[in-house]
Amino acid sequence: MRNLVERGLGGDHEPNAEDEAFLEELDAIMGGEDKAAILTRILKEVSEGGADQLHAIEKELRGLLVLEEGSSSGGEDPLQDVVDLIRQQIDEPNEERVSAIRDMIANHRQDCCEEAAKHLDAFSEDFDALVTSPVGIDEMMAEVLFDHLGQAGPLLEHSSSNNEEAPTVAADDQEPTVSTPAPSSADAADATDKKTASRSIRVNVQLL
Amino acid sequence: MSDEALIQEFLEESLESLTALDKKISDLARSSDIVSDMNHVFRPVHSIKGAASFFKLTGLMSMAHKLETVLDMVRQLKLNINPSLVDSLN
Repeated sequence: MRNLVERGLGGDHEPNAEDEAFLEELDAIMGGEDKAAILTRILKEVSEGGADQLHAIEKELRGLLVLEEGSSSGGEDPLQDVVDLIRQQIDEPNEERVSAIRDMIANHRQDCCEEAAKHLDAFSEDFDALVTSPVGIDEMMAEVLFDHLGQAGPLLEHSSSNNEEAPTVAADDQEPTVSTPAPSSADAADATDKKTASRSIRVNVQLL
Repeated sequence: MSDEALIQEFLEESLESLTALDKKISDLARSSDIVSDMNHVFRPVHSIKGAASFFKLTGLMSMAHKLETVLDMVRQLKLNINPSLVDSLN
């Protein structure tokens, strides 16, 4: 990115081939690429390349791990309706639709977890800035909004499934809520290791 | 001040931020508090994204946005920071 900024100082603001390669690398890391395409390219590199390609392959696999994690929930995206409305808003701006989107986000915001709320707040902030600007929402800026929703969606899904799984308690029997103590760093590290191992297994199974 | 002068000023400031960022990203691999330290990396990239969008520097905005997304994934512990990722980010 520094190279792009340096060239910008000279008046050249367009990304060059090196910038495009970096963007592709970031896409791979965050799983912005189709899984089949990534696997096809990895297999091609393995069959054609030597040891010098291993670093690149490692990056690809790392991106695939992220992609796999993102798709592992399997449920329907609870924010898909909002995504659809934003797409309509790009083609045909409409005040009522803006209100509808705000209401839907506010509804999700009411009983979601703290982490999801953070992404929904970031969405609301960017959304309000865009709909009140003279430019409105275009395809490029919509991607920023979709990114917030993409981060919040799985967390909402998770909250929802947790709520469904929670045992129901009669109102009269309800005890005051007691917050769960945060896990120790050792527990967190253990959980991270298990998560990484679990993801590795899923990727290995897919590769096989 | 003209738009062009403002853009030049923004790019000069961005260059300074990004130069300082290289070391911060390298230090992340040894961080004992990744969430807190990642915030110091995340904020300047977020600022560059916002300003690049304002100045309609679409290439820079797109790059900053993707970089921000990856950094956020590290911050949320969805990605493990390691020498390979540090190498990619630098």
